[in-house]
This record gives sequence, structure tokens and C-alpha cells, in this order.
Amino acid sequence: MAKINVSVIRQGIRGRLKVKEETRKFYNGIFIDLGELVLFTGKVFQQMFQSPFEFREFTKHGFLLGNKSLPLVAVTGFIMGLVLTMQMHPVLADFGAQTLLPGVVAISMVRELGPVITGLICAGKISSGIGAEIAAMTVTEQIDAMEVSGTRPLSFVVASRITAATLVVPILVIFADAFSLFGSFLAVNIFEDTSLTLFFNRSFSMMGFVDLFPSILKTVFFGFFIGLIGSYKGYTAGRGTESVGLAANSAVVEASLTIFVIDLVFVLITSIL
Amino acid sequence: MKNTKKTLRLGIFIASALILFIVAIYLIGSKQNLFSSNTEVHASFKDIRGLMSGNIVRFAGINIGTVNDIRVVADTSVIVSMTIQDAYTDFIYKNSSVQIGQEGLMGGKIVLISTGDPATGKVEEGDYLPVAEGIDIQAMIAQATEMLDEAKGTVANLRSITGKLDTGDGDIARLLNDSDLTIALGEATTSLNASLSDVNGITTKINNGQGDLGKLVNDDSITTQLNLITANLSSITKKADSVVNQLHQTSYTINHGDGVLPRLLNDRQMGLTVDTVITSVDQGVIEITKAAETIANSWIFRLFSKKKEKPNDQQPETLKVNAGDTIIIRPVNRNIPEVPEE
Repeated sequence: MAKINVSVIRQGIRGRLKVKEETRKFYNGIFIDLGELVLFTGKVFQQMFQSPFEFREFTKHGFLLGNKSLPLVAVTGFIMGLVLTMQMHPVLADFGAQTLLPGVVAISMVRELGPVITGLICAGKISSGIGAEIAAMTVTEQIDAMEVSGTRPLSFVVASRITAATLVVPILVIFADAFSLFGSFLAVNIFEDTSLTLFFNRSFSMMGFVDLFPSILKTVFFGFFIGLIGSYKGYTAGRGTESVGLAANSAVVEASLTIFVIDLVFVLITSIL
Repeated sequence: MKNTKKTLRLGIFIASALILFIVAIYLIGSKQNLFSSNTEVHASFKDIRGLMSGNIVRFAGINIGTVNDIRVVADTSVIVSMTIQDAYTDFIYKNSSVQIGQEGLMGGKIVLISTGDPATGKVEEGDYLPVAEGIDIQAMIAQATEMLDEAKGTVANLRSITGKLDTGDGDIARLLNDSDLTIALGEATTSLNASLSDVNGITTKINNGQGDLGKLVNDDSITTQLNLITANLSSITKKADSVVNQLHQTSYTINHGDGVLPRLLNDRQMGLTVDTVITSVDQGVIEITKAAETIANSWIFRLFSKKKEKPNDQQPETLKVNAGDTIIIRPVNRNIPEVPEE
């Protein structure tokens, strides 16, 4: 009769229990994070609509997040328009539908690519920046100092940044769309001579308000969540210096993921409309 | 100061984006005639073929409006409402027909408005325009499919014909494939060439004036003589014509005239009278003959006669004359030809 190795069985059971425990911690962590984020959002909303509004901080961060991001967004949008046009030209040329190219590129950029690409750029630049900056303030106990000194850190530090991000991301998307159309115009002129007037007529001939407004509206949400997630990750960062990097990294990842989720929700809503 | 500069740059940044956004709204809105005064007109279609709100309305190749509403009012009636820019309503009349077209093969549907009759007046708000049958791609495809089927049948027939021509034994196939006919044609051509050579020799002789035919063809004297003969014949013919005419006149006169001869020919009564006269003359002649014989035999006449005739022993032959007989009195010393007896 074979001997049963009890120790092996015990090890197996312990291993399985350990896995279950980690899984439980992981899922609990997600839901705990989500709950804390909702509570954090509520507090931030309260601070946003409480006077005095930190307008100077708002303009400062608006300038830093918006103006400083414009060259990056403009170059990205320009290249996206150029590349998209050059990629689509042979496909449409096969059907003899080159004249549809400006309209197709414009709709693609305005509805989807412009907002999402700009959102991802902002997630990488703005959200990580906000996360790292606030995390550094948390690590260096500046937030605590603010609370002690009676300054409302949620209003001064967080709400101003989130409001600024909410405002500048749609503006950056508008710029990205505009620059992408100029890039597309350049690409179209590589293949055939087209005047700027004709190009814009063709671009907007296929476009409607149903293409423009939902895309601008969703970028408002993009901006809000980019600012919110960056601020939350920084605000809830640990005490160690590594928390700064961790906060910046997780802010980028979660903000990017959130952008795709919001995009999906908006696409579903606009497809119903 | 530094902060103000940042605020200014942020303001420019936001204002620029707002301007771009407003321009985009204007461009899109102007395509949908949101920023111009419009006239709404309607048309009732049986089938709108996928037309949607927002599609273009086109007149004379110009985009003049958009479809702004589509309503189904009955199972065979879909009301399409269109907004047309007021700038173009002067050129659209109440009988301008509308039809659903397609913006290229890949493009969407559009509404096409055709020109109308100015006498019917300009189109006004709420007017219903007449509907014309538009180009239906599906119908064209169906027609093209039908044509392709027919073409396929034709190609099959052609293939069959070419197959028969290539391998069959019909006349055309033999013409194409066999050389017998070519050989026969070659022989015939040789014979024809020989015949033509003979004909050429004959014509050469004729041209040279050899033989009767050559003379006939080349010598003018025969023609001159023939011309003379022809002239004589012509003269004779004219005379004959004259004679014939006279005969015709004579015969006409005989047939229709009122002289003796026509009456003799045509009048029965005249004939009877003549018969009666002749009979009477016959009887008179008999009587005269008898009287003359009596006188000749009388003694007084003999008395004064130089010649004494012997009494004729022979009894004179008694002439028996019947009514209708013809008596010819012949003088003694004249030779009168005898009338042959019938």
C-alpha cells in the first residue's frame, strides 16, 4: 500500500490558500480603490464649488497643462492626419473614391482618433505629471502642512488641477483635429493638387454635429478623469520616495485605461443616437 | 507680471481653440443650412431608397439644401421634407420634379431637383413638388445581370458555332478546313482564264475588223445602208398607215354611212328590194326574149329581111328559166368570157 505524503498535500493546500488570499486582496484592492476614488471625487467636487475658487492656481496649471502640451499635441495631430491620409489613399483609390479622402480623414480624426490620441498623450504627460507632483508633495508632507495651516489642499492642489485638465484637454483635442486636417491637406496634395478651400469643403461635407459634439463632450470627461486619477494617485501615495514613481506610473496606466472605457461608453451612446 | 503673461498666453490658447471650434460649427452648420434663411418644401415618394435626414438636395449640380425630415404617412407614401436656401428658390418652380439619386457609386443618396416651367410660378413654403423616377442602382444591377445572362448565352452559341466551324463538316467548315474546293476553284479559274483568253482573241479580231462580225462592228457602210432601209421602211410605214387609215375610213363609211353600198350591205329591206328587182328584170328579159323571138319569126320581119332563113328543121331548144336564175345575153360577134359554172 502506497504511503500518503501528508506534507506534500499540506503544501498544496497552503499554496492554493495563498493564491486565493492574493486574489481576494487584488479584487478587494480594486473595489477599495474604486470606493476611495468615488469618495475622493465627491470631496473634490465639494471643493470645486466652494469659494474661494483658486483661480490663480487654475490659470497656472491651465498654462502648464495646456500651453506646454500644445506643441506635442499639434505635432502628433499633424502626423496622424498625414499618415492616415497616406495610408487610406491607396484603399480609396482602388474604388475611385479619392474625393472622399478628406471627409473620411476628417471624420476619423474628429470622431475617434483625435480625442483618443490626444487623451492618451495627456494621460502620459498631464496625469503622470499631476500624480508625480502631488505624490512628491505628499511624500514631503506639504499636503499635511497645508491642512495644518488651514489651506484647503483639495481645493488648492487638486481641484485647480482637475478643473484645468478638464478645460485644456478638449482644447488640445480641437487643436489636434485642426492640425491633423492640415496634415491631411498636405498628404492629399502629395497625390493631387487640391486647394485649401476644396479640401475643407470636402472635409466638412460629410461631417455633422453628431460627429463633432459627442467627441468634444467625451474629451471633457477625458480631461476630468486624467486630472482626477493623477491627483488621486498622487494624493494617496505612500510615504516612501518610490511612491512618487509608483503614483506617476499607475496614474498613466489607469488614466489610459479609463480613456478607452469612456470612449467605449460614448461610442455606444452615440451609436444609439 | 510673470503670472499675467501666463494668463494671457492661456487666454490666447483658449480663444484660439474656441475660434477653431466656432469655425467648425459654422462649416458644418452651413452645410446643413443652419445659418441661412430657408424654404421648406415636400415631396411624396413611394420608396426613398435609403435616403436619410441630412442628405444633400441638389439643383443644377449645386448643393442648395438638405433633407430635414422623413415621415411615413402610408404604406406607399413617404413624405420627405427638404430645406432649400432662399437664394435658390427663384429658380425652382412648382412643377420642378424631384428624384432620388446617388452621389457616385460609393456615395450616399441625394435628392435631385430638375428645372421646371416658369409659367407655374416659383416654389413657396410648404409646396409639394412632383416626383420623378430616379436612377436605381439595384434596378441597374438587375438589368446588368440580365444582360450578362444573355451575353453568356450568346457566347455559348458563338462557341458552338466556332466549334462546328473548326471541327464540323458543314459547307463553311469545309470551306475553312478542306482544300478540295480550293483546288476546284483553281481549276475553274484556269478554265476561266483560258475562256477569257479566247474571248480576248475574238474581241481582238472584232476590233481589227476581221470577219463579218468585225465588219459589222467596225464598218459604217452597213450602218448607212441600214439607216436608208430604215428610212424607206419608215416612209412605207407612213404610207401603209395612210392606206390603213383610208381603208378604215372606207370601212367605217360602209358600216355606218347612208350610201347605197352601206345600205346594200346592212339594210335587209334593200336586199329584198334588189332581189325583187332582179327577179323582175329576169322576168322582163324573158318576156323581151320571147317578144323578140316572136318578132323575128313573124313574116313581116322575114319579108324585109335580106337573108332568108331556111326553115329550121331543128326545133329550138326550149329554155326553161326558173325564178331567181341569172340570164346572160351574149352578143353574137363578141368574145365574152364564159362564166365558169359553179
